[in-house]
Amino acid sequence: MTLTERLREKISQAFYSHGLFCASYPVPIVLFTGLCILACCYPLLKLPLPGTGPVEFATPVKDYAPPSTSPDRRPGEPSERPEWYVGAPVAYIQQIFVKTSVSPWHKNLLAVDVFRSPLSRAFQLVEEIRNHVLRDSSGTRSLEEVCLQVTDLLPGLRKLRNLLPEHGCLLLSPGNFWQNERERFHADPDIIGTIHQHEPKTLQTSATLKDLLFGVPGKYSGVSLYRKRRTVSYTITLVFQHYHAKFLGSLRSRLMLLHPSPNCSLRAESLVHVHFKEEIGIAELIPLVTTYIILFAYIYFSTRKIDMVKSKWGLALAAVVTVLSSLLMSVGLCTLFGLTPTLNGGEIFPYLVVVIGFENVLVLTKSVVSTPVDLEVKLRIAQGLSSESWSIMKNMATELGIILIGYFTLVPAIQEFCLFAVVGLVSDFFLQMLFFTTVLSIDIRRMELADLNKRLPAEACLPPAKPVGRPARYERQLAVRPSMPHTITLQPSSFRNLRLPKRLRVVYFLARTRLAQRLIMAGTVVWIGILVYTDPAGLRTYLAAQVTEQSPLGESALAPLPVPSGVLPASHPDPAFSIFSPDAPRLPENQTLPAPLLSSLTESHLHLFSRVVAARLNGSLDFFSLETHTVLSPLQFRGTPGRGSSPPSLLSGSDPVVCRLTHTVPCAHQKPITALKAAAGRLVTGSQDHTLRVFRLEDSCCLFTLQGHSGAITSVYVDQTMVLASGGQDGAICLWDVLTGSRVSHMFAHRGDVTSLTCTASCVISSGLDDLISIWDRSTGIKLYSIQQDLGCGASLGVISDNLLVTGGQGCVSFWDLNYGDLLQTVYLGKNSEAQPARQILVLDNAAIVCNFGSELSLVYVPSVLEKLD
Amino acid sequence: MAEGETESPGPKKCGPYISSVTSQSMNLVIRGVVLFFIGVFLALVLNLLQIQRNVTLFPPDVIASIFSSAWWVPPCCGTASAVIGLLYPCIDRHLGEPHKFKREWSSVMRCVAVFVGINHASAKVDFDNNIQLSLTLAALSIGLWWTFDRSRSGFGLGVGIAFLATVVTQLLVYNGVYQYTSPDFLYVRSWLPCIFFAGGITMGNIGRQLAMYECKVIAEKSHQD
Repeated sequence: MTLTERLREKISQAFYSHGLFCASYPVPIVLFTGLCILACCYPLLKLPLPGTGPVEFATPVKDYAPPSTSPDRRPGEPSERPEWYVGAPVAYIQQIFVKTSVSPWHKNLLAVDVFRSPLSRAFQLVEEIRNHVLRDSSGTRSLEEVCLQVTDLLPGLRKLRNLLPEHGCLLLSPGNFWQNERERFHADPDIIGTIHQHEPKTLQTSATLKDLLFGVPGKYSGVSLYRKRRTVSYTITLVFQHYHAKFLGSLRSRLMLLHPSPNCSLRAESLVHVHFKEEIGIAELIPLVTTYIILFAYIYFSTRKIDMVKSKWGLALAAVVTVLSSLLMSVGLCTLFGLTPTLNGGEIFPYLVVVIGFENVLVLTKSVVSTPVDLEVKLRIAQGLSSESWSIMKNMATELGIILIGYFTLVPAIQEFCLFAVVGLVSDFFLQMLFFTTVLSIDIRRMELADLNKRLPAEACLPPAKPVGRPARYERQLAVRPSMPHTITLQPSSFRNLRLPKRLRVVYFLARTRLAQRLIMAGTVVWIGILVYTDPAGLRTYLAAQVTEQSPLGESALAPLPVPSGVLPASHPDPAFSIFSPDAPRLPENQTLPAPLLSSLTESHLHLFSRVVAARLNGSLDFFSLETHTVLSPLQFRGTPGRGSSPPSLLSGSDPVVCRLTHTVPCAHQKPITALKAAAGRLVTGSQDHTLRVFRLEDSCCLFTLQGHSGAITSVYVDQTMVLASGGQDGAICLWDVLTGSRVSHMFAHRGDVTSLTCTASCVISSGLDDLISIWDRSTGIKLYSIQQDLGCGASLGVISDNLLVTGGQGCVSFWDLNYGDLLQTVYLGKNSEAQPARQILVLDNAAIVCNFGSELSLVYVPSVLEKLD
Repeated sequence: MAEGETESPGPKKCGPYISSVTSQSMNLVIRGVVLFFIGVFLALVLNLLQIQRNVTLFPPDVIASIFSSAWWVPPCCGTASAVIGLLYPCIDRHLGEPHKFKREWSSVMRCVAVFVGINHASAKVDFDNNIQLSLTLAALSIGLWWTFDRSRSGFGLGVGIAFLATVVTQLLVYNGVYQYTSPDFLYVRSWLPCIFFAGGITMGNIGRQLAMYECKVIAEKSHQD
């Protein structure tokens, strides 16, 4: 007898006794397994639910600097930083936590007095914070300069207009409930009512307005009439644009000076970075759905093979439960031992199921049902188990081996997958042996009972109250008549002919119509509907959008373009309005503008009269017509366009011009409009919602919506020949046909945003945040060549003629031959030592070039080009 | 088949559907069409996976679908999978060794799932370097063959397909039809042959399973005669 055979014998023996054991005590074993599963799944409660919830990462506050924009991860070095920890954050949040109580507490005080005095202190505190100014050697700095400026509310939050800040610093405190006015607070007879008036009645998963303004979850704020403890907590939430350690430090010391308290918290040690994941797009979803479809097909084809049993559905369910709970146990056990899953659970789940597989379960069932029918149930199970024991063990060993090989690939993702798979396989084996075998034994026993019932006269088996629990009697009867031929057929409908008790008839009715399943299904659908309706992500979108809406104006506030409007020659014969287009900084004092602010402004000159189109941050468009007969020169926008009521005035030199609102497109885009261009009677808008729209200028009719970008649109180009090019934050450039609205080509152009875009007759010129200028063939979309720019000069380029390109550099401008990519000449302007990067270049019609060097403007006249042009 | 003995021979028992399938060329066409659509579907889905990570860059086309790949890719993949799926059972028959290993739909589904998983890994998992990625995928592909096929003809055909397809891809990229973002094996990614091999095995598996029905019908027919 060889070793293998002896091993085989041993395994077979062990399985035989195990089968006997399982079949003898089915109910205790099933209960025990259930408890095991629950115990192993217990650590799962601590895991976050799968989904796109925010992720956190903490860094020490000391020596904090915003992470660089490019992931500087060296290969081979396991990095602690999560992948999303790249680039400067959108905002910094500082909360000032206030915990108060009324002391001493008099008997004659009302319950409301618990809150009145503590909350009134919030106004004082907000005032102190707002008035705080940091004075040091480098000058003074107030809160207004470092905080995050917001401009508008999201459409969904319009009804909270009075409570949330709409412009200025984003600073939240309980005082917002009373518009930050102390008088209003003191005059308020029902404080609790005011606080709770916006609380939703239904179950809410996201933060409510109260949570937002109090800065702490509702149950910790203590603002409730039913609380015994008389402490009230709230925070003042400050949102900063930049991290300014000195300012924060001075604010902290000032507050500690003003409110000396022995138990003031110590210096915070770490900064917590919160990342809001992007929602899953359709492109992510389709492969996911496909894998799940394949998974279901696999489960269907596998469980279809279960045959010759009493309840196919029951066993199929048991098989699925076995595999699923083994996976849950695997994740639970791994969590228990300190491994946190980093992989996307939803993505790898189908693969794990496929790897673990249903094969063993099916093999078990097959071998058990193929044992001789006239044996006792116990013996059938034991025989079936022992006959397949060898192949089961062999399979298991092979799979473990394969997975162990996978573990040594040293790729973290694969290692984690393999770890889960190994633990899953082992727990699957455990469940097969205990749970599934026992369920199988119960099923086989039920089948034999059904056979007996059929053979016995109908009266004999009238109330089969507990057929599973008391099988012994029937087994004995079976043993008495072993010679009887057995027929194994499944006839669940045979019961219908019998006279059944009412109770059972109700149960059968329920089972027949599948009432319970349908009710559960309907309930689930309603529940999902409620979840979608109440929008659990409301707060997140509010904050995110507040912050993103800030971006176009925020940049302009940082680097206001010092181009004075008088740079244009006053005697210019043709009003070249398009030079003025789509930058927001044209607006003089953007602080004084009420929300919604204008995000961009374009003008186009038609044959008889001029039109001005203004895009608002809320995505709407206003079309104005200028009613004047004089030729317009430099425009300045003064005041705000009220909605048709008070016509804003435009100044052109000395002639006042009246501009009349002709059309308003209320919801041209879902998100702020970031780019705007008009030519050939068409207006093209690009927005943060990843789409472009083409409008007709005469009647503001939307002709096309162009989809194809996977990021916000940053630049748009359209010219008289109806060629439209667009660049987005995804670094891609799309060329479109304005006549048909179809996409002509699509290029991945830059790492980072495309900052500007222009076209000539034969090529497309783009510049990006990566300081590269790329030149593309317009018809084929193939990159011809690219030019590396100096740092900070990425967007400075201009086209003088069809084959002459001018780019800006460090204190210089360079001329390039567009067709060949040759550098023709570099002209240095001014002294080299104080060279500034050229931020912007404008090419005027008479081949003069205006260069914006930050603090100064240079006008370069290129006579040679004129000759060439002639 | 029991009914063949009791009934008079003829398509009466089988009904019109089976009788049309019994004609061999019709059967071939049906199998080809089914395989073609499976290929098209897989191509679309897997392409989507690759595009998410910017692995392949296709020049945009006027008929750019929502799947944002060039229009000719799915039909090509569909045709190729139809050819492969028909070739496998054909070669089995010519070699005279009918394939007996794990002939069930559940096993085929498992095979497809593993194939999608290999693609998923190639697109989504971050490997340190390309050699590691390619070696892992190669091991996975061989594992796929060993788990679901285990026939010499299958292996040979798979290798042949992988070679041929890689050469064709090289030529396509060389002529600028499309491109890979970071080629490391001449013009393409080095894991491409592994994917082609796994795809060949998978489509062959499906083709063989589909051919099982034809075999059944033929066996029935011969029985009747």
